[in-house]
Amino acid sequence: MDMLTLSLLFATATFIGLFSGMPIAFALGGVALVFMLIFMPISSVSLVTETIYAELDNFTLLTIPLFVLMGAAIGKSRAGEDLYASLNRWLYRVPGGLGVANTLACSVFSAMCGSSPATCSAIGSSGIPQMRARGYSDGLSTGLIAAGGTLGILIPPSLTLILYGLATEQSIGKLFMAGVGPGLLLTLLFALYVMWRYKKEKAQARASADASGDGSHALLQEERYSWAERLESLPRFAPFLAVIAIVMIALYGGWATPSEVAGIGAFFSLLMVMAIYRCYRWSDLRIILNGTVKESCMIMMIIGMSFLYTWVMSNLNITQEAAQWLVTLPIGKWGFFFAVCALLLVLGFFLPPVAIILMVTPIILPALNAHGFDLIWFGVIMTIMLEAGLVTPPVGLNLFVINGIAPDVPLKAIMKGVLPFIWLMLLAVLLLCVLPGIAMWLPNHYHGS
Amino acid sequence: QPAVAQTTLKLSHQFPAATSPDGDFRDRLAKQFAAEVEKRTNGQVKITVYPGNSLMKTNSQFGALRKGALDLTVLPLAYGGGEVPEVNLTLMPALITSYEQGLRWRTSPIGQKLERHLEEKGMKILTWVWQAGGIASADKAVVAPDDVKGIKFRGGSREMDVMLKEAGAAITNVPSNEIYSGMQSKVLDAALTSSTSHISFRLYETSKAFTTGRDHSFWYMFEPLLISMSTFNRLTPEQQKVMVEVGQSLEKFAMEEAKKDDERAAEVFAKAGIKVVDMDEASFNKWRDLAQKTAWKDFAEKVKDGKTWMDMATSVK
Amino acid sequence: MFSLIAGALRRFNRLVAYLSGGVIIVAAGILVWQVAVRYWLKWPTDWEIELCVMLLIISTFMGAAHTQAERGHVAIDLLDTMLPSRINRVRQRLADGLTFAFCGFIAFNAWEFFHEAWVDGKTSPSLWGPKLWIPYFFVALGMTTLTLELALQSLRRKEA
Ligand code: NA
Ligand code: NA
Repeated sequence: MDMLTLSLLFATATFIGLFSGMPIAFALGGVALVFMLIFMPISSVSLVTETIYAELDNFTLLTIPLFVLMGAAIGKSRAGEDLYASLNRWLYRVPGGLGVANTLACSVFSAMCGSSPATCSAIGSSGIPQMRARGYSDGLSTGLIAAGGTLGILIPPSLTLILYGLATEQSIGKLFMAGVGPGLLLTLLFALYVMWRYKKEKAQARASADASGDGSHALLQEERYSWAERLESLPRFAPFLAVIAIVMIALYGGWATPSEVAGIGAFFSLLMVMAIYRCYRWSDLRIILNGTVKESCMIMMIIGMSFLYTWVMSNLNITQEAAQWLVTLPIGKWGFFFAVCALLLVLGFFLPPVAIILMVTPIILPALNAHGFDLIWFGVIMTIMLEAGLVTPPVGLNLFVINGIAPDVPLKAIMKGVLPFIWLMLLAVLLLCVLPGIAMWLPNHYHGS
Repeated sequence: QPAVAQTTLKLSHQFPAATSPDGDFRDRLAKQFAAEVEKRTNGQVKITVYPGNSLMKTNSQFGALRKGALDLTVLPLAYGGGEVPEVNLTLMPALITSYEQGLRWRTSPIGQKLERHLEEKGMKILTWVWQAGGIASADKAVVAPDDVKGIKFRGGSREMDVMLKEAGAAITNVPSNEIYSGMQSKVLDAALTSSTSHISFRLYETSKAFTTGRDHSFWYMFEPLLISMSTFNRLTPEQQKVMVEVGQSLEKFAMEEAKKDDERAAEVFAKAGIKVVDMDEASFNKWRDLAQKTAWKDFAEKVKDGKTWMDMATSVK
Repeated sequence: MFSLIAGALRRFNRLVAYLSGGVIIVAAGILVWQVAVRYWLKWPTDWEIELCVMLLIISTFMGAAHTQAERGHVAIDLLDTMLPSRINRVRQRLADGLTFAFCGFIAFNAWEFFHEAWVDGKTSPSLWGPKLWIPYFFVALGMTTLTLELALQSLRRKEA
């Protein structure tokens, strides 16, 4: 069977599996298993569990349950509510202030961890319910967090940039610095979009209120806080700032690796919630425990099974042949660039960022060199394209994480909500082509001197 | 068993793909092997190389090879120490003293014992590859055992850790992809790995001193090109012969490249402004004394017939 | 009788899930310990990460059945509102059956995986060197309880 037929068959099977209504984890595993039985030596079958286990046996990956615990401790106790209520006293005048705060929170959290689903889960657990409670549409509040979470692999530390640096023999320090500017750019673009969108939603709510005479929409509830009320809320930030301070000191003070920070963050968040918000009774703890287990199990199962899926796909050589074919096309420098971005986007529909980097980078690297692309700059472009893959169907881990946090929002609404953010990511790629300095200024000025 | 005329085999390894003539030699070894086998079998045996963990994870390769789910690999053999404890002998501190001595294993009783044992466990050595290593440190250079007291050290393998722990190092277990950030953030003070990996992992960006692997090194690792026995048995006798011959013909290439990397690592670190030191014989002897009392003893006691294996290994001059 | 067994399985799974949550907290605690003793006391930390990884894998698999019981394993529900309900029912039956078959296969495969590690006495290649059948056992057990839960759910769907 030729490669194109095989690829189409694999893609079709994936779509059927995923849309059949099977849980995503088992649909991915099932598709992998069927293709394994047909196209791979029978001895592979004895390695199914071993493959899943060996891939999960990786500490960087297992920071996810810890960050989920951190998110659940804050989001499923009174702590999250309190934090957002206090934030709201300060931000209520800014249009979409709460949304902007969530965007910034994703950005800050991304600077602590190298994983996107972890960022999504930690911020989304309190962020999404709080935004929805204040009248933000389901699409905006979930799409914002799904997209904001993708910053986890762009803003350093970043697991994908490390792997890219090893594969291309580029300085990881420089790559990290190059990720900062574009990370801030995307944060800014996201925040501006949220403000614009908030105004639009509010205007719509007003219009329909005027038409129906029912002004009960949460967006229309005018709030007003005096300076005394604002100052009174200040001490409430203290415990959260303390946890962030502990994590930052541990990370940047040479105490802990980025992965270990997950444990520290989770432990002290839980401690804070128990001590300050008095969630030490079983009735409080069980909610946190239940939420943590369900969500982390869901995410880790999808990740584990997607490794099986990736393994089969790599074995069938589909990704590698596609990249190889692309390299031979006579389409010039920017034609090649465009084609690579398209390939990354299409692969992103199905595969997680780490797998794409491992499979594609070695094959396109000689062509990147031949066309004279700056490999540091390209690493950032590639990461942004892979970020988009995290929020595109059918396999979009961040979408599923959000679906787990907010099960009553249909997946369709989340996808629709996240679409504008994908456009913004593509816009950022375009801006980086026109103004490479956004990425390169920092590493060129501050590295290796 | 039916012998197959035309077949495509998969070779997986964990090392970065070599995209230039001086890229990671372990990937170049794999690709040269593939090209030469394809040529000499007139295209009957094609080998696809999957570099950088793009087919399977480092730790799955040993088991997959045994079961025949993977055809070929270039693998640090000691990674299989949890399944086949005897292979810990191939990353034993201060046991190998030079590349030449390491290669003499192949024709010595220990080498034949190892080959037989591995064949029973489902894999066959095609190319013997040894690699020396050095120590990158975030502060002062680590040369003699006294230098490791109280420093956070990543040894990376069981027997190295046994020895380093006894020397007073605070053994710190971080995954290999976190060595870089660990050294940068001072979570790690020093790390031990092959010269080639020191370059590939770019540890010269985050260290202050480097002890080279040239001349004297207590760290020699065996990372052969291996074929699964079930794959090997499927080949025709002629194809088997080609495999074995091509494998052996690459031995010299691997040794020269490994030696070159020992020198190159020294150059790359020096060029990055890092203090580069060589290990002197006196320090090496101190390590060897320490290794005998710790790691060698641990192996002789813990592994079945460990004493015999150890005696056979030390008898190679 | 059926509902008695079903109820018992549910309760067992819920209990195990709470324990799995506790295991995640324990892992977080171990990491704090590791960072502290390494920074202040310069103690060797050669087992902590490995133990944490094992605990977190165990927690993932042991929580799977309870997660399924509460329909926590996310599925794409796009077609639910697009197709007529009769076709949807057939589709859901089919999806249930396939999920059950796949998880059953993995459970079986996992027991083999466990058995092999048990017989060969496989250990981790690290200095600490724990026996690997221990985490593998929980992988197999977790997949088995998940498969039972799936069987229960599809039987119940049939009754309804
Ligand atoms: Na990050
Ligand atoms: Na996707």
